[in-house]
Amino acid sequence: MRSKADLKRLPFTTKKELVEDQKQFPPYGQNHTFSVDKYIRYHQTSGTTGKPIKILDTEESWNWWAECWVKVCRSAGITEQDIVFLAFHFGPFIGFWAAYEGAKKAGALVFPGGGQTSEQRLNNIIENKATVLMCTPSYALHLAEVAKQRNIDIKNSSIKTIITAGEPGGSIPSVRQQIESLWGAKLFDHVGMTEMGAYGYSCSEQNGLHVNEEEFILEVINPETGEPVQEGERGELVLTNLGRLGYPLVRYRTGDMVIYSEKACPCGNPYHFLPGGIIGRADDMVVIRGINIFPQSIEAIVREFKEIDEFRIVYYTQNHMDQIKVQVEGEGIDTAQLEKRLRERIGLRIDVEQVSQGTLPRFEMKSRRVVDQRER
Amino acid sequence: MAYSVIGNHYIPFSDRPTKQQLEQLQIHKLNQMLTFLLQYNRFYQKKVRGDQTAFAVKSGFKTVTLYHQEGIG
Repeated sequence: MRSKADLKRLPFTTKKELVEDQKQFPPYGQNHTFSVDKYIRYHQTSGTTGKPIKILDTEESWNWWAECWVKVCRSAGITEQDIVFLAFHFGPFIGFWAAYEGAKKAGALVFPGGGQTSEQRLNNIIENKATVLMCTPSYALHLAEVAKQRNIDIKNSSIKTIITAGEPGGSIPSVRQQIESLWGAKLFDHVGMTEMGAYGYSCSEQNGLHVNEEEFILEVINPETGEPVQEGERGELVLTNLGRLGYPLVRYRTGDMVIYSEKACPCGNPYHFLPGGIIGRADDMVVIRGINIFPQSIEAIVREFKEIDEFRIVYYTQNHMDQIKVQVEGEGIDTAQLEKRLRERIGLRIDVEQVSQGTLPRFEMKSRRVVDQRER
Repeated sequence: MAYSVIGNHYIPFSDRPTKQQLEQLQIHKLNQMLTFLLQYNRFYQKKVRGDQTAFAVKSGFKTVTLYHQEGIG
């Protein structure tokens, strides 16, 4: 390989191949370079889109994960003066395990918030004067909801920084602003994948994500043709990790949709900048009445309504036609105004249905706010 | 002074790497990794060597000069 252009001579790697590999060579497949005795960590993917993939890390690979997370922490300004509270269950999902290691390496005091109720977590944040909260964006909103119910003042708490991961909400401006307003803190987003690594993070500009190009090679392709997209075009993010010899991935099709741009971020970080961050998942997109719908585009509009505590997107069939509705929970929601905004911005009539408080599920980890009831 | 986070160190923006330097680093790491994988990783041995687009990884590749001694591990 003499330049990045030579990378094109290598084939893509897909999630389907990894799943097939594990099926054919159980339990871990053949992409684990070393024998099992060399590995020290077990993780699995969330299984949102199928059977979870089992992934092991060696000591070296795990240190690499932590180093990648140190960059995320540094970008958010975390120092040894900080107390980082991780509102995470510490199960087999890698998410905040790596964050825990990274924050520790960055010199902060880390507080593992596993095995606790939301109220216990809030109390621990207040009592221990935590300055940084790490959790999914959904859970940051849920904690705020619980705090409101219990009269716990989080807006004036010691939390000054929030780092979100596990879901794309942290890079959706309306979601970010809502979390920042509820917590009185600045939000930084992080993006990573169990099978790939902790590859990106937001900066002080808060308008997109930087890909850590010391440890990952980035390409953005047209998902149909596999060819690179042009400036300003939407495409699928393809990554190669460079420091995880125990579980390498070369030209991995992440399924994350991004906008390709060569423009530099005003923050000065030279790493490749993805304006707007992850704008959707290739496998989340549905076509309703000829229009491409990404759930994130709907969430961005829904979150502009501060009265909405929770929501759910439902795809269904009516008179042999695919339809879409949004169920919302909260007091004093102007559903007509929300319908209007959805129609204007998505270009499709989307019904809004108000449901009773407490009807819709809440999520600690990856949220599942889409229900597909369409007839096949 | 404004700082950037490179290699887990705060580095003045004036010392930040150029795109070209980053690409050199990436290619260096990629060549190291591929050489290793094609020797030991069965998934990529099959995938790359068994593929029509198979390539030859040359051993003894040149080590690039790293742009910031402290900054890059």
